[in-house]
Amino acid sequence: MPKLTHVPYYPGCSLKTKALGYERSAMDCAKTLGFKMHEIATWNCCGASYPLTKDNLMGLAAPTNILVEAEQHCSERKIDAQLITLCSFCYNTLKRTDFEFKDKPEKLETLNAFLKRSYQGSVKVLHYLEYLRDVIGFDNLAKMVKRDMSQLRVAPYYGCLLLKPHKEIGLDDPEEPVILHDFLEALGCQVVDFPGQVDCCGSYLIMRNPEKVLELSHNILQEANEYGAQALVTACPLCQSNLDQSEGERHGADHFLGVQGMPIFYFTQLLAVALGLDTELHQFEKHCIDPKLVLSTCFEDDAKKIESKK
Amino acid sequence: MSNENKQVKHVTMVGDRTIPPKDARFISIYIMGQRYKVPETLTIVKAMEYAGYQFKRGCGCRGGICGACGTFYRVLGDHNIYTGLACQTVVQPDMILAQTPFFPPNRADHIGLLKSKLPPDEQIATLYPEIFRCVGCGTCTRTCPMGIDVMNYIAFFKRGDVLGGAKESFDCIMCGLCVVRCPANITQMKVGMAGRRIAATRLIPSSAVTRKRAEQVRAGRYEKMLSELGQMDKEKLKEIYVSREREPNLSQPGEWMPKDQSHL
Amino acid sequence: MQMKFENNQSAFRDLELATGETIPDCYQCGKCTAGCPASMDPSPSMLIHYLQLGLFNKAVNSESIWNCMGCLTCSERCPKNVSPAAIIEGLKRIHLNSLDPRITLHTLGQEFLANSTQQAVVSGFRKFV
Repeated sequence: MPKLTHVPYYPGCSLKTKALGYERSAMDCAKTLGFKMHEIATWNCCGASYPLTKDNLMGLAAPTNILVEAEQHCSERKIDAQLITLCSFCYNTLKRTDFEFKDKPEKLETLNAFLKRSYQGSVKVLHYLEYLRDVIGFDNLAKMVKRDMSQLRVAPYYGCLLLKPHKEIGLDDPEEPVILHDFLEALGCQVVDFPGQVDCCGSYLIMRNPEKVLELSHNILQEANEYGAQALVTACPLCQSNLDQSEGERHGADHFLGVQGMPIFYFTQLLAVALGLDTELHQFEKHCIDPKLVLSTCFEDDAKKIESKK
Repeated sequence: MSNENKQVKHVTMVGDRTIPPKDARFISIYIMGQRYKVPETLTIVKAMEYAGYQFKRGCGCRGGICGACGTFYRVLGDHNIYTGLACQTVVQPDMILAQTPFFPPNRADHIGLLKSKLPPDEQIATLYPEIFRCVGCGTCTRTCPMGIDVMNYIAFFKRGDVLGGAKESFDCIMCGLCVVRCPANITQMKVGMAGRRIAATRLIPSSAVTRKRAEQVRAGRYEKMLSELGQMDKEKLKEIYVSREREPNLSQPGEWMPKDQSHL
Repeated sequence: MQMKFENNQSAFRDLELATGETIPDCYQCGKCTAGCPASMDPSPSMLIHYLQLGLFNKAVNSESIWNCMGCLTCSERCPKNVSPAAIIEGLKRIHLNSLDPRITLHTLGQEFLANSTQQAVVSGFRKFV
């Protein structure tokens, strides 16, 4: 059994409870793809939003703590300093903090003095998708796919913070991104390109104006539906929650999407299906719109499993 | 404040039973902004009593465990704020003391906590939503006189790991110093307590051995022994206390058994 | 809570210093407003226009600033590298730093808190409290 590459992993608050399926599917897929995600020993919440006003140094305290822990984790094991994330908010916050420290080293000095730590600035923050594209390679990924996904029409939904601001994140073009498209192609799905793929789901407005989130999510889902999608993939627990719960509400209210509804997958959940892994523990049952309903129309063995459980 | 202008107060030791060692040096400390000369070997509590203050009520166990005597202090010439338990911390020269008699915590209503149908992580989120305001500044950790990583246990609760938070906050003595300093106005110690209560009732498996013993007690297993003891005279009680069998220290399980095994 | 700044110029300068933005750079092309998913009235470009015209109180007291969802489309598209999102956050911070929050924690509701993902609660608190 070849040794799995050790990749330090930062979960973020949501990944242990509300988005546990995202973490589990990502970890299972990682092992098949040749790497192991090691959660760093001590970590705190990243703050979930990068402070947009430059004078707010307190908002950088939490990300700095995380980066210091990651740096220590890597130096103890004598491996390259990097940190993989799943949550788009965490990715955005950590990456932008890192960028700011490189741009303004005096801020790093201040944070180090205040926190009584010494972050050297060496950690490279990665998103899981980035790792798939740049380290594994989508061509290699395609070779490892075990299931025929060609019957499934999936729309890639990027959200906002995975891509913006481009100058600091640099993962992909924010207006016409391709990374999730390429990912889905590698899996063998039919990729549904639709204009709403970079529209905002409403984000934290769910805390104060949930009707706005409902409106924005509804627009995205309706458009995806019009373009022929059966399901969406996303890389952010908040997008997943906003879209899924909005649809659950709408679907219950007036069945606007027909009988089945459109499941919102975490991209690693779909990856696990494609790689032929057991998805029992990937928390499909926690979604408002059950992903398995869509999968069963494509895969006979899944349909049988669902039947046998009834 | 300028040292030169302050009157040095020498206080006669009324009611205080501190007998400083013969060659004890005297140092200056500041209580409520007034300078006092106290022997350098005393704890803050003893030093304040030496200076003539009396603790009439609520302070405390004097053993470092009740959390009543949480103290903030500075040292002249140093901009940092330090913390310690007054009963455990020895005075330093030029220490400037502040006691926090009571700082209001936020205590959510715990009634119904144990019967709630919500999973533990959601219970904490609904009782103390302010934990989500934590900025990760670590001030609480740096303030804690017990050396607990307070920020870390709040981080456990934020991510839904109630058992982890309960374990990490175990040493908390509820002194409340973290609460005073938190910029997000979180009452860390109450969150920790709620977490420990939830963990104890719902997450930590109950001991079958303890349950069995409790049933035995309720069934009257020890009634005879207790009534015998209750009717014994003082001399006989002393005699059986002194001659009681005791397990040797550091015995391994099963290594030692008492001669009288009737109560096991 | 209505803010009342007596000196528009110093309030404006403080906002620029806090946000790190150069507000006069905006030449009112409207790309930010065109791309904004929030129903903001006054719109992002309008808010910046108020600031440019010295109508600081009008900008800071607009309710529309609270509709911003931080999608950063405006910042991404601005041809002059101005970030309306940062400016709007600066205006919000003026309220929040004066203990004038838009969400009250103890009225959030048990069911809502229990069902919300931590991401939403944490970022929501950062922006509204």
